[in-house]
Amino acid sequence: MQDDSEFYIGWQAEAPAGFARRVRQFLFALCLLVPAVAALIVLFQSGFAGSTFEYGKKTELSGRYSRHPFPFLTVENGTDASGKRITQKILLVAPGKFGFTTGPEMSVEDGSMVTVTGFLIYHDGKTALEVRSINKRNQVAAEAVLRSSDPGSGSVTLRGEITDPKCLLGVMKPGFGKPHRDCAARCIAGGIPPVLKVANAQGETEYYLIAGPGGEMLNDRLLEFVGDGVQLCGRIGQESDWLVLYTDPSTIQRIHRESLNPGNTCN
Amino acid sequence: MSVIYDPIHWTPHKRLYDRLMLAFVAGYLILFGGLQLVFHPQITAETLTIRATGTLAFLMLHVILCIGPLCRLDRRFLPLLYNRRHLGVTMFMVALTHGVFNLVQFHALGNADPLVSLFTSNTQFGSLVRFPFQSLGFFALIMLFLMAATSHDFWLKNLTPPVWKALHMGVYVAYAMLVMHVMLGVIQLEKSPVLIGLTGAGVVAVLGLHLAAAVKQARTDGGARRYAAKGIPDGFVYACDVADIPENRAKMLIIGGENIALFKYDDKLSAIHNLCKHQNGPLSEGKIIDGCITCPWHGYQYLPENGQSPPPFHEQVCTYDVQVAGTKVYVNPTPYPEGTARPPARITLATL
Repeated sequence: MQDDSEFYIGWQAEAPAGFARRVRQFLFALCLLVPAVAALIVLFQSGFAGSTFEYGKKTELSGRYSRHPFPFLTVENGTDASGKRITQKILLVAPGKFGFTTGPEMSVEDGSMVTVTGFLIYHDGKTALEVRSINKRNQVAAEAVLRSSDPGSGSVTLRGEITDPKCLLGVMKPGFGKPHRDCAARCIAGGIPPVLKVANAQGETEYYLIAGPGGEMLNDRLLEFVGDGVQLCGRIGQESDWLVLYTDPSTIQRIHRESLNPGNTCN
Repeated sequence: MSVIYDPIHWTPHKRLYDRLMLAFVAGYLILFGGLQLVFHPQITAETLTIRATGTLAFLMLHVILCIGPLCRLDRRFLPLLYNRRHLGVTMFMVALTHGVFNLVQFHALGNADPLVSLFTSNTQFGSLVRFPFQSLGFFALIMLFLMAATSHDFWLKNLTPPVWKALHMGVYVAYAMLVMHVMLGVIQLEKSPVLIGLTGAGVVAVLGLHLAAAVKQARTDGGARRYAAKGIPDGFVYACDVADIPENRAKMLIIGGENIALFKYDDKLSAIHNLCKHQNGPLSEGKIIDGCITCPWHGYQYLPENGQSPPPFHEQVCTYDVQVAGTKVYVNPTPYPEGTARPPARITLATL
């Protein structure tokens, strides 16, 4: 029951006992409720990938620079057990939400040997580099770093989400999903190659850089599908440790996210 | 109550309120950040900041919205209402931090101005699932800014109370937009039923308390309604019995659309308009202290005989004529202009 004899005025120094007691009860309830809410939010969110963006830690790499289908730096990474050279392709991106497709660095000839410094971004066996400087070297590229596989003739259908590889590999967490959609659109509009994130039933994830049938950039064509569940048909090629999906953008279909599952061969 | 416009008219209560509020804010950020770092050490500083400030601002908004109906249901919550504007401004600052970090994180350093990017990166306004939820947060933040910027008696006075009140009722529009901002944003990614349930529980709490307060208010209003009876001259309407009003307290009356507070004090009865000039507080729930009717919300005061705030203050409310016949009290619901002196009705021994 409320005590009608008590009357509270904010500008008085002391609140009546009944009012003070009720406020203390309210604050006590908040002290229980708020930590519980904070804990539930933290414990029931889906977590974050162990991806890495080495921002501020410069790495210098030497290798062959190629522009097609995407800006890659191909570096030698030792030899395998049979003595064969192992190469790795590192996707080059510019600072901010830009691809390595414009600016003075593009004066470096396609196929030339270069030394690049920048910040590494890596996750799930894929590596990108946010380039801070690139310098041409007077050196002939070894045969091993020139190699890339042609896309196969068989078509596949893949279902997944289109995002940008820079954020996905570690610049942002999460680098996919609805909250990241606008950022991915801005990155892809800025020239960063789109990537299709495909998860299988076992929870394993594969990433496919997306290019047109002839290797042309599809960034503008894909913008409206960024962040959505989509189905794409095309041929798969391999650029060292990167997979590339060569697709006709007219085949893109928007699907429910719940329908995302491993792809089937196109009929 | 102050005759000059201080940036903040500090009182011991406000100091305590603000200390507790800042401790709450700091405590939440430390707890949320600590839990994230323990359970999700891979989280980035940007994401941690965005999630900590976003959840805190949303939580604070729920507390702010619940305080009003809680006070209507139990006036012992009134100390929470007294300095609620500081809570609102602090909530806005936390929400602004969330908004700025989001704008920078998702829209800066690109090929478009961040604000242009905000409205052009996703234009699928026709789809609920793909709706650009960040624009909802942006517009809600603008509304919260307008409320925070005008959250001072200077603006209340200059905008006039009706305009100011209407502007600040926009908090409910902002709240609706923020609920959709959450549901169409992070909940599209974090699909845990627990997180959806938490959001839903917040909405139910806010709506439930407002509904309960509205029901109680409707009952109070219903009990306060009086109708003109035959045989009562000069427009007077029976209000109540003298004994129905406690000393130095009031009875609320609604007669012909007029909302009236009828006070009993020092063997006298006076009637003034029920709504305080400050923020429409219910004067009938106030008390006569030092000879002045004192509003229960923020302590604004009025003299019962003329509806004027004592000098040097300038607030005025309408007054009404009161008559006593036997033990019966009658009120004429025709209002006199604000601040008009009316002689109180005397309660004589013969009356009692």
